[in-house]
Amino acid sequence: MGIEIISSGLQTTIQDLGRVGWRHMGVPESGGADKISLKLANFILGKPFNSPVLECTLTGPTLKFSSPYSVTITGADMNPKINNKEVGMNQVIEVEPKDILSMDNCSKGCRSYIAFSEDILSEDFLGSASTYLPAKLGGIEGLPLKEGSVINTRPCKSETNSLTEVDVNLSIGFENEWNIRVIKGPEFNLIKETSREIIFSSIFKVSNDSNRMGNRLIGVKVDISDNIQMVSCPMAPGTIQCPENGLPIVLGCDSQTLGGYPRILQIAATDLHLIGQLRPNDTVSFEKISVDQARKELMKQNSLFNYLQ
Amino acid sequence: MSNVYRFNISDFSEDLLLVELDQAPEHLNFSSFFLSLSTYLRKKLDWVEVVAAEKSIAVKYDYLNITDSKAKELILSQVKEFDFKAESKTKPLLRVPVYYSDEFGLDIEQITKTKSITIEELINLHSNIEYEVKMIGFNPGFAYLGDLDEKLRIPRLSKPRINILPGSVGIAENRTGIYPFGGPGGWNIVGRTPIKLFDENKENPFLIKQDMRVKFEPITKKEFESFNK
Repeated sequence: MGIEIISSGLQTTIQDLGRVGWRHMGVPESGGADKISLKLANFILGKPFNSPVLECTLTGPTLKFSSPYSVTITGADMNPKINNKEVGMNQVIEVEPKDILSMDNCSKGCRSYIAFSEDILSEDFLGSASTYLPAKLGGIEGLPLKEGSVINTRPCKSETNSLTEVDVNLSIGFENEWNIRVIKGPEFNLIKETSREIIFSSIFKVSNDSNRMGNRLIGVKVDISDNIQMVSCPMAPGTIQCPENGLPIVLGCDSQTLGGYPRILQIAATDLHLIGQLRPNDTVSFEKISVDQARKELMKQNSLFNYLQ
Repeated sequence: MSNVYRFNISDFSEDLLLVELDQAPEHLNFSSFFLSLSTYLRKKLDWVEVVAAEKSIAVKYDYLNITDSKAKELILSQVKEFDFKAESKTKPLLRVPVYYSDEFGLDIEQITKTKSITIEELINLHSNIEYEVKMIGFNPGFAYLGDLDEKLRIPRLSKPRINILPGSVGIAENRTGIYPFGGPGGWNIVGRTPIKLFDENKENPFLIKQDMRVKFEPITKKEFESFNK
């Protein structure tokens, strides 16, 4: 049973919820850049949240099925079609052998997730199927999917009941202008006083030079105190670090575990998935919240997903 | 433990704490202290993740089972009972065979030229030292080893290579290290080890760990090739 890759899309990789507990060995979490959309795709098919799915970037792939599957597509809308007929997002699509799923570009958001009723067979690395491109680990040979290759699948071990009706309130709203909640980072005070409020009233732009490791922001320069002596520090997904050139970098799920620039802000965990949907030229503004408020929001989001499971 | 140490525990994120020192004894080897403390904390099994950097540690806790104030209390009691001296026992020595040559040591020629040394001198300078693990990060399993002999210190490449062979041994500034996997890298490559730095079948699949010393041992091309058979 397999799925043939007719065309690969810009960058299509296998991802699950990632690998936790290995940062001390230099291994980042990886996993879906937008873990909420990834969970939603599995949830709609009634599969465990952590099941491997395909993560598509800006332009989706074209796939040909060799056997019947239920398929769900979440995240950024890349105009999916089955045999050239439009199909919807966030719903169960039944496909037959020889059916072709084609996807296009998206105009809002950056990444889509395709889940299948069967389990994708891939290379496990430290307990996760997630592809980590910088060291070529996980997925299929640690690489993006290639045209002409085949994804093999096997029946899902756990019992699945796909949804008949989907409450799409769970899917995130897609914009080209994002408001993201942040808490102060450990080196917030290294920002020059004149720049501190500007951060929260300015609109940043996402640079072309962005990927799963990080999104670079341009448009506004953040003034960092002169002559600072930084040593290498622990980083986390969602850490916003700012080099001396004043252009902040939002660290993504594949970012390195340690880094040497001031950590000026930290994206609230509830909004972390949004950075997976930032596309070049989107705008971003930051809203400051307290760490206690961020914790409350996280608990709320978490209980929603627990309720689903 | 003596009160010359004063810790500062702060919030890094919703479920991540930062452990730093506000006060430390004179001449403390910070990287060694925090590396050792992180190993100690990891053994407690109370934490999701414990990551050491040069002058701090990030500790991730399970926010669904422990509140932030409880986590802070617990971490403070654990770092206070940590005894750096007692934990600094002799670290096991790992011997890593390296085939130093132009074939894999892509930057050997450049280094020997810049430093006006022979290849033999380079090999001696690099393999005569028992290195300490200073930090692990950058890439999965990549250990920063130090200190490198002053005569060998050179900056990183101005343009990192896109794909380095697994097992490549590099140097940069006062550090040396081995690339466990392929991928990009900006260190000056002097040779390659035939041994595997990652074995999925082991409980901790990474060969080089925090509490180790590492020594490189020059091998011939023949020996390098026989390792792979």
